[in-house]
Formats: sequence, structure tokens, C-alpha cells
Amino acid sequence: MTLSDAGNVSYLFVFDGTTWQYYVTADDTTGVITSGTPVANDFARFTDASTIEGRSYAEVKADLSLEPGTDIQAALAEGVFADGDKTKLDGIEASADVTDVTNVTAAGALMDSECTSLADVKALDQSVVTTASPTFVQPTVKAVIETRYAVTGTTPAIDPANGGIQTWTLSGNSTPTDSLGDGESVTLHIDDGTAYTITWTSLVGEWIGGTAPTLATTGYSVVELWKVNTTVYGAGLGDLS
Amino acid sequence: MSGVDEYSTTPGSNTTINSIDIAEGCAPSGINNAIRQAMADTASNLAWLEKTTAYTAVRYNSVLCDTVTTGAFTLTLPATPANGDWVRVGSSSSWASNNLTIGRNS
Repeated sequence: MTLSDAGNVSYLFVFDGTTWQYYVTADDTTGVITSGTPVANDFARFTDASTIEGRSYAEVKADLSLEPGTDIQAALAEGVFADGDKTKLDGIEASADVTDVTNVTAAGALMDSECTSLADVKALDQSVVTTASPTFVQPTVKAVIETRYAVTGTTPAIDPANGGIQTWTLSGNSTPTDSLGDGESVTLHIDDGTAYTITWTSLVGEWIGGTAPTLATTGYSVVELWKVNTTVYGAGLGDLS
Repeated sequence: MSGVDEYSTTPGSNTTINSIDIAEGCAPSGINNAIRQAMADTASNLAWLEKTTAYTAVRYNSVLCDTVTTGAFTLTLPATPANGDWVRVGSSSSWASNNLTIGRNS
């Protein structure tokens, strides 16, 4: 090795069993060997193996040659990253794609591609859930499966909301009441039980033919009821054996 | 033995100092000479050796190297050192113009 110090220095060579290591010590009256005229708050830079010089902030910037916006990230107009920002970024999967069908579907959203008639879905303006009563102008219905409902008691409220076809085996002389809405209808299959009778006046306002049908003593008598405005109309359709 | 570098850390192995017999049963007349030699060796070991030309150091040397007076030269470190051996090298002049070369031998 070649030493070119300008003085005020000594080297201590110590053999560590393998090689001569060395330690550099400055003259204790001189302190750290420096070049130039370092001042307080300067940064230190080695100019050779044993000499340090002071460098100002501007000089260090020039030494490093780091240009914000080119070599390092410049502060954004909206500010620098705050605590928590990295955690948010870490939560985003690699190559995250908000249009990915798997991700969107997994999140519970509906993709346009999943809709057979997208425009119709987007035009939907009323609820079609089970308990809703949507209005359709002119639906084409291939089949209607009515809910069959068993009427009980002797003063039942006849309500189409229970089912379009309702069966009723009388358990006593009965007086049904009106729970039909305007435009609603219901078909009743009535078994008179042990020759019980029905008083219709709380339900039916007018019968086709002028009188209520006579209930068959065996099997069912079938009665159709429908409401127009506030009046319930009734018609006996006949008896089933 | 001619210097501290040749002293042994095993007392029984130190039977001479610079050829002065200090072995068991040695002549009493040699003891004062041996003590004086040991003191001289110690003083020499602590002192800086001034060198202006090539020099091969021995362990525990402290060498001031002057490359201004006669020019650049080489200071060679011991070729067969033991673990822990040391040599101090100091500057009695600037080495900037005439560099000092250290022959490290390892």
C-alpha cells in the first residue's frame, strides 16, 4: 500500500493471524485531518483514506446528483405520503382490476356481462322482490301457479293475498268478511262440513243470478269472488263430487 | 537476544539478553549488564526510530518515516508475524510528494 498523507498521522499495523490490519490515528494536536475549511453543520466526505472535508448541503446535493422528480420522487402537489397510506396500498392485490369479473362478482356486484338484457335491468323502476306488488302494463304469462290456502274459522277474512285458490271446510255456521282489494279475485272451494251455512252479506255485495249458491251436501261447491271498486261480486261455478 | 522483539513470553526461555548470559547459574557479574541491556531494549522499543531509507521493521517497532530528505522508500512489515504483533508507522514529514510504500508481507 502507498501512503501519501501530508503529515500529522500515524498508522498502527496489527497482525490478526492472517493479515496486517491497520488503524489510522491523527495527531492529537491536530484532531481530524481535514481539507478545505469545514464549518458547523457541514457534512463530512472522505477525500482519501484518511482525510475528511466538509461539504455544505448544496455541495452534498451536487455530489449526490439527485434531482427531485428525476432520480427521487418529488413531493406531490397534494403532499407527501402519510402514515397509513402504505397500509392502504399493501391492501391492494397485485395487478388489481376493478373490472375483473371474479373480483366484482365476489364483492357481490353485478357485472353488465351477467345481464341477458342489460337495458331492461337498468330501466327497472319498481321493486320485484317477493313481497312487492309491481305493476306491469301487459305481461305475457305462460303459466300462473296459484298459492292454495286453507281457510279456517267461522269468521274468516277472505284475502287473495293468502292465495288465489282457497279451500274451506266449514266448522260451523260462518260469516266471512271482505279483504279483497279493487280488481282482486279469489276462488273458493267450500265443503259445508256438517250442513253448516254461510252468511255472505259481510263479504259479497252482489251475486250473479241474484242469489248466493246453495252449498252441496257432499264434495265441494266452487265460488268465484272478485271486487270492482268497493263491491265484491260472486258467482257459483258449480259443485264437485 | 538483541531487542524486545526477541524476548519470549515464557520466562524460562529468556536465557540471554543481547548475548549476556542470564541462565540459571550464570555469573553474577553479568546480572547488572543484563538489567541495563533490558532497560535499553525497553527504551528503544518505546522510542520512535527515524528512517529515511528502506527499512524492514521488526515487531513492536515504532518507525517515523521521512520521505522528504532522501525520497520515497519502502517500509517492510515483518514477514513472519505472530498473531497480535504490531508496528507503528508515523510521519516525520509529508508523504504527499514522495509516497511511503508499506510492504505488508500479507
